[in-house]
Amino acid sequence: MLKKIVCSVLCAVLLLSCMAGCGGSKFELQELPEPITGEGPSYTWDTSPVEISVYIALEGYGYKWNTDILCMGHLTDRTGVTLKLQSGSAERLNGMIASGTLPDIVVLDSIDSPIRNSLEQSGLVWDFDTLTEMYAPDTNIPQSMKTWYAGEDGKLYGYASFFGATEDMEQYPDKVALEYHNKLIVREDLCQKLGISLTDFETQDGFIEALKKVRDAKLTVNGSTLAPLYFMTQPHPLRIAQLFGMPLENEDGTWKEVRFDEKYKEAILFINRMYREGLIPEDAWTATADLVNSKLNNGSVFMLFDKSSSGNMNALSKVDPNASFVAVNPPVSKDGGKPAISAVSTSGWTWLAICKTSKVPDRAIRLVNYLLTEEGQLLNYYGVEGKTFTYNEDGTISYTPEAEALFTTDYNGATRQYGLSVFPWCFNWATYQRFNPEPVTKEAITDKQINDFYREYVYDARCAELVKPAAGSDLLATQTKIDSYWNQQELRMMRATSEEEAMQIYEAAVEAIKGMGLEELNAYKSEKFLENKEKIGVKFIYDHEG
Amino acid sequence: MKKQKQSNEKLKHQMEIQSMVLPGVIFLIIFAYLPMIGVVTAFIDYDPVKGYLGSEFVGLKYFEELFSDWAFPMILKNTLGINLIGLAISFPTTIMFALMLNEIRSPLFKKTVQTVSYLPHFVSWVIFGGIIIQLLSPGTDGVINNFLMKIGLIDQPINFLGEEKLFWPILICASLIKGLGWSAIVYIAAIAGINPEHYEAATIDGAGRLQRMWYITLPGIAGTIIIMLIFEISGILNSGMDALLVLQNDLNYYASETIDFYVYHVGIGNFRYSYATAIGLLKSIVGLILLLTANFASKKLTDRGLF
Repeated sequence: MLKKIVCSVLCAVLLLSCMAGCGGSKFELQELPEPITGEGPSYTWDTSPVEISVYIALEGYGYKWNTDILCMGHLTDRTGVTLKLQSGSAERLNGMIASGTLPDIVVLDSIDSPIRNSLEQSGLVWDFDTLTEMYAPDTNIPQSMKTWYAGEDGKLYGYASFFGATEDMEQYPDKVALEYHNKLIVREDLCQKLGISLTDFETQDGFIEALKKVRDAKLTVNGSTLAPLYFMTQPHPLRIAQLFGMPLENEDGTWKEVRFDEKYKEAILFINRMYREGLIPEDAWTATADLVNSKLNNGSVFMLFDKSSSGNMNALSKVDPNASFVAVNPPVSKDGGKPAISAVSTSGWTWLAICKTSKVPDRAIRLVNYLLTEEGQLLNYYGVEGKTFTYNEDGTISYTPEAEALFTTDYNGATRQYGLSVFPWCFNWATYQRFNPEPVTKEAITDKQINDFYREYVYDARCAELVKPAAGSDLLATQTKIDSYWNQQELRMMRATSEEEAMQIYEAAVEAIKGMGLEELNAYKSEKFLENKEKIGVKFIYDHEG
Repeated sequence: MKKQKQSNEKLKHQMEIQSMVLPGVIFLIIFAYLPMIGVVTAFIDYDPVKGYLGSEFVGLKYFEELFSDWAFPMILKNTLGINLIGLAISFPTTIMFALMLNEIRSPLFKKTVQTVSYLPHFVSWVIFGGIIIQLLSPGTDGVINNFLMKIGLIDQPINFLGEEKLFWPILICASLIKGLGWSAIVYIAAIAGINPEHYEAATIDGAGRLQRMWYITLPGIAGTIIIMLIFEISGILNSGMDALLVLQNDLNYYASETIDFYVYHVGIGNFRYSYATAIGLLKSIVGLILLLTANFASKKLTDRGLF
């Protein structure tokens, strides 16, 4: 009997000790070290060797620190910092949090990650205001980012890479502009061959008829049949609805449930019509960006929706020097209207924070300080001055002949060899735009034409970006379920055998998501949207009058 | 009391031999029993920052959420459908394959067949699935579509992996091809354990090949078959994540989303660990009930079972 009692007690103790280990007191929070001052930029004040651990929640990242590699070695030379880089999934980071073993710096895969709120609200990360004030007052963090990401206490808790800072756009209006993906490009050379005019694409009927000509011509290019149309990933009504002129805001300035918008419905029917006409290849519905790119490079795609990146044109011109893509005006919607294209997330991409468990928060913030200088920024994309690039007279940058030759023969190999793209998590896209030289080659000029074509229709939609419910909340669960259900139904709408069937599925899906708690979810999003606008002091995110 | 004392004495004498089980027991405690503490996650709103004690207790909230989820009937149907049909096809096929392999007289041919059938097991699903995707592709590079079009069976390529109704057969066949040789090993090993004298006696009595297979080999491996069947039944709610990760796409979602995959998408993918644990716990309980039921039924019907 006694044995049993002792056993039970021991088990209970074991269980409780395990549970206690999982409690809230597992983090060894550190005091801030005494501040020091010095001459010059703050990253130069203390360049004694130090190791800083960084966890990057990007699974494909994979870099390991190696000072023999140009850019990594350069950073260590300039700051004394050696980085202990670890990368993997966000779930792994959650595991680290659960076990109380945080690195000095965490980088989340998205500014929208639920972990961001958890870290901010739990007091596990330092606010940048305190750190910069004490250790690196010259850190170049734009005020617009501080305003946009201000917590409830008004402080900034992390750095968002690829953030669209309004200061940059105001300071360099000719260079820095909003990026966007909704580009509609066609093979100009094949248009001439098939008797298609570029203006044919400006009406929905003309668009379909033009693609039918491509379908019926059955041209063979490099062993493959020329496909009329591909999407950069998969067909999606949102992008087309934006080309039809649907902004992400109602005319009265409130948040828009895009799925209920007439233009969105029209976009679904337009895709459905293309599908029924056999203009969308079957594998386009499940294609990855890599597959589409390989088809583009092979020259077997006539039209591409959603072109997102440049560089493809170079590969294509090697296969067929006469091939040339050109951006065209999109088809207009039934009630007219010009395109209303939301910019690529101006809220940013990754989110960097410095943990309170770090024993070297001063060095960590000075590392950020260095990476945010012009030299540090260029390190991520262009490398080291004199070794991989030189400044042009107009202030732009050109690769050195050796680097240029290496990039031309093997771009990825050169990137790895120089250690470029090691710091995208502390990079501002405006840097690339500012220093990118004017295009000279035919391919680069084409890329610029394509990239600039729709620019006048692009607007900043950051207020509609950060409206996601909080991590772990029931509303987030509701959103996940609604989105998952809708995405599947939307595919059925786009692949319906008739317009009537598509609309039947649409109506049923609308009713279904309403029954899943859409009203409550949208009320939350609307409130967040208005809060966001208030934060940056705008009444409208889109010029409805223009 | 006396019996207990005798037992303890016996254990003491066998200490050297019994101690060999210790590493296994320790392994089980560390990797199977201690992690069970995590089951608590299913009943709280787990937040990694707050830990178990800091997270709010929510009772059966996540279990209720699962049953009211729009996807629940779909994922249950897919999980049961894929596994039951898969079991009905692959289980007897594997046994038949092992029996046939046993009957091959040429050692060289036997080894060749064994090696060829084992090989897909050692190829990862990423590669194996990639080959399947490529073979079934509706594009110009799809071998099967090209073949079917060449012989005039179809006019337009079929998007095999985009058709919901074709997904189950494709997945089941692919899994069968990949696992056939490897799964047969256990039966081949069991067959090897059958006393050859039984075959000799049967041959003298005039039994043919089929009769020897039916009256000697099959009864000889019946115990193994029963045990494997019980294991298979208890795992009926499990689904191969690797295969689904490679072969699932938006078009076959309604036929390919299984319980495990849903846990991955909606639970872990959205950091909803409590929801994921609740589903996992429920699955384990059902699996345990199925195991006990299958074992009980087997003991009643065949007098054989796991325990």
